Amino acid sequence: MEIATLLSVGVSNGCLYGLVGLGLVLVYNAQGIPNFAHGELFMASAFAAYTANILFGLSYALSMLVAIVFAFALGVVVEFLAIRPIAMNRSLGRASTEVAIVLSTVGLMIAIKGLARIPWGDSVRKLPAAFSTETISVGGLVLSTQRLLIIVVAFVLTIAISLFFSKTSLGKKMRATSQNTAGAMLVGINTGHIYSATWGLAAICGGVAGILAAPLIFLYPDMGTRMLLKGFAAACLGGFGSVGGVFVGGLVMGIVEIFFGRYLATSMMDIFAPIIIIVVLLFRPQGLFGSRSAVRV
Amino acid sequence: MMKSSLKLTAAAAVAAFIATSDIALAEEAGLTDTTIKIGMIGSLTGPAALWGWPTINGAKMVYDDINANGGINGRKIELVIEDSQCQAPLALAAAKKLISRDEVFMLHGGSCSGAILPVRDLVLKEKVPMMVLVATADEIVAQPNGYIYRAFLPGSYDGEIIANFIATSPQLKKVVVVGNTDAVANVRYPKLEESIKANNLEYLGLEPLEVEATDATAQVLKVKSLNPDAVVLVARPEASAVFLKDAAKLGLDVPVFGSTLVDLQDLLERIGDPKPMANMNVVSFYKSTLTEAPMARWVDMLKKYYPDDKVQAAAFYGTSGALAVVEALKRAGPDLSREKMVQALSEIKDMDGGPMACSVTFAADDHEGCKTGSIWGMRDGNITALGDSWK
Amino acid sequence: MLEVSGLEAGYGPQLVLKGVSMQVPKGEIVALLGGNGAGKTTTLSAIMGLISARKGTVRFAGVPIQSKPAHRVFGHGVALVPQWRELFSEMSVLEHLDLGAMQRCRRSEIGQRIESVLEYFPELRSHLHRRAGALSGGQQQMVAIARALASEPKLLMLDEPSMGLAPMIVSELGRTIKRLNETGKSILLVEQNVHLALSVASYIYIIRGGTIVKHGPTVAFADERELFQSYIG
Repeated sequence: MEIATLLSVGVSNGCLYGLVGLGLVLVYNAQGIPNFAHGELFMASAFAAYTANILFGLSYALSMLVAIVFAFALGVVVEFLAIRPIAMNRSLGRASTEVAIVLSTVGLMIAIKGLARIPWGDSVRKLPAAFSTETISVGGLVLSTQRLLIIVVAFVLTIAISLFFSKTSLGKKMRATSQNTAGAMLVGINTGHIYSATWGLAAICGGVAGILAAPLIFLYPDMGTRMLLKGFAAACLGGFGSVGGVFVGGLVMGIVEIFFGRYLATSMMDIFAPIIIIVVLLFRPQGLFGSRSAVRV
Repeated sequence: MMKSSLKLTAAAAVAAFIATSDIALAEEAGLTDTTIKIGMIGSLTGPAALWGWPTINGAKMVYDDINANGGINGRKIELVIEDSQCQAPLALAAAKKLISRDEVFMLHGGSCSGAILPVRDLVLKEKVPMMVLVATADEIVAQPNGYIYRAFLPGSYDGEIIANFIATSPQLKKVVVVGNTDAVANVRYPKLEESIKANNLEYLGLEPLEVEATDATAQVLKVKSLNPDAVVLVARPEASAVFLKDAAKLGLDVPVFGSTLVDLQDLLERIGDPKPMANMNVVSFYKSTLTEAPMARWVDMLKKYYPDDKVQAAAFYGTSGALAVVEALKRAGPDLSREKMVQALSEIKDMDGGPMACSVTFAADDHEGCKTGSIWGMRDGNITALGDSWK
Repeated sequence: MLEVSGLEAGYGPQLVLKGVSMQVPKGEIVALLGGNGAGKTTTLSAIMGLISARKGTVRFAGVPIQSKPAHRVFGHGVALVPQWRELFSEMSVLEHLDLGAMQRCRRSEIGQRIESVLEYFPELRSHLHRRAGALSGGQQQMVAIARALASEPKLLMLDEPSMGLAPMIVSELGRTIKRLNETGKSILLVEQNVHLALSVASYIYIIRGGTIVKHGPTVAFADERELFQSYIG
């Protein structure tokens, strides 16, 4: 029973890590850099849902939709204003361009967090759960309905994104651009649009995680920082490669973390993510599932 | 003739110089005939911004009220407020600016223990009187210290209050501690553990809970497996709420005692559901809940001067400090100096703590003015002040 | 079809092309020959819009294209098979053809388009679902050309397609280029392989130090060895 409880929490946390990690991987594959502002997309979407639902009184479902659209728009705007001008600057070499973009995302992280503190810094806020029944009991096992929702949504979204990449023309163009930008230009792909779409999609992944996690935690401007670290660990485990790999990486993170905390040391739970990142990068940079050649350096 | 007149001129010049420098020495920084300049430092932005303006305003309203009633000995209080962002380098820079550039008479500030601790050395070196605003670490006020005072319950004392309280119940024997491991929480553990043991209670250990924890399943299950009679929860509000929610969900049904880091009303609002709160008790600074008579005067004062501020527990953390400052300024008299101010503070005995449950008493070798608090708990769904023994 | 005049372009502070002028008439194969660093690849990049022209004009079918980005130039019907192939290593051969076709034809016509491209490269049929990164060099070159052809370009530009290929495959490549030309495509071929160029092109330009130093119909360059020694080697 205890193991089932731990598993249900570990899996749902892992799903969140996987979603956040997926957003990181999308941007990494397109631009070759870790997006340090990704946690802020997670935070901003949660606040967007809060604003729509609590402040404007929209229905819960509509609020979630508004928040997802907002996340997409924020991703696109950020790419257009803060990333593209650097990426398109051909006077920089490739290495300098990447360093400049990384620094730009660090700046964005600080700026978005700072902006969020202006209206939201004074108090901690709460977003209601999707269902009014907070827990259901299955054979004596108490399960949180919100956590079940997280698991279902994460599975569906991961499958949907996998299909998007393998079946749709936009998905194929995004993969092509991430694998070879010059090649993509030569088949008539407007790579600028693709980068916007990639950031938008990445922001949706982070945003969905944000609005799913919000009812379990509390809303405050710094809520994205911790998630970024966990998502990054999930992405490292998954090898920064396939959509499924990151998702499984997130699950492994979530499950191992909570069992580790329960049976070994709770004090270690939160240094677990950075340890995973370091160990994976040192000994298996292609992640648990990737092939070595697939790693982009 | 020439010589003697030269001598005379020189002597006059020296005399004049001595006279002026005498005057300069006598004239304390930050004082004029009509004003006393006090520097305040708070975490107005940054991670602890939640407590920034509410705590500043809770102290400021006392000064506002004094000014509105004619000031102290003909002088009105003039405030210069700086932001520390809860960071040590910025707190230090703010203190330096206030002391050297603004030339304030004294400081009333500090809202993050870790950030304000480095300010201590500066203040002691410059011999500037300082009242701590809301920082709780013992080290800030510890002796030897000639200039820094605190008029609310310091960090380590709530452990003792909780342990003594638990010991009054014959059913509660085994105690486990769950808590954050940041500076604010860490200052509380040694005295808490010592007090638990001193009361012949069984200490089952400390289970760490991260400040930004979003889930406490592992901690709750671990605590459950230890089978304690009571839990002491030394965590910030966010993490405390997470723990209480998971404890209720996973059936950890024992009394929980929170430190002064949390407030019952605030927790109730955060959790939004009275069920997980049923077992919760906290050490409170205050005489009564915000809605009861003893607090009415302070709630009214806040509404008068800061009508837009939320009436919340955090709003009055800094009030007793301002009351002590005002009392000492009155006692020090019109011929004010920093040394006289320090002496006047040290002479305060059994002063009413205002909203605080304690009465404030300082001594020349003990600048912790407030050492008692009261335990509050949820009884029949209402926040109830329980005093110092189990009910 | 393609008219380049006074084209200047380069990378960063470095000016590589110092006024290149050339023409590719409709339905012809034109070869651009030159040694390493002469400016061959830069010329193609500037025409394609991968780097921007600093001076001069590039007109395609009468339309100025010198300031357009690559994806727009591609939209006009110009396709480039780059020297380094620039394939998508994790994507299948079929996906390459799909991507090549999708920008310039309707969804319903893609299958037909791919089918017609595969007629030139029947060998690829058995590898349609393999990753491009797992193919041999010759097969990768076929994929690169096939990807460009899938867009049914009016002008096909090939940048040293013979590089790294075995002699037998090079002659096969020459035949393929001629067959493509017979269907009416204009071709601009950049080569160091003088033999291949002379065997397919009807007109030759020689570039050195960023300018065209000599040009004329292929018959004027009858002595292959002399041509190589004086201008390329």
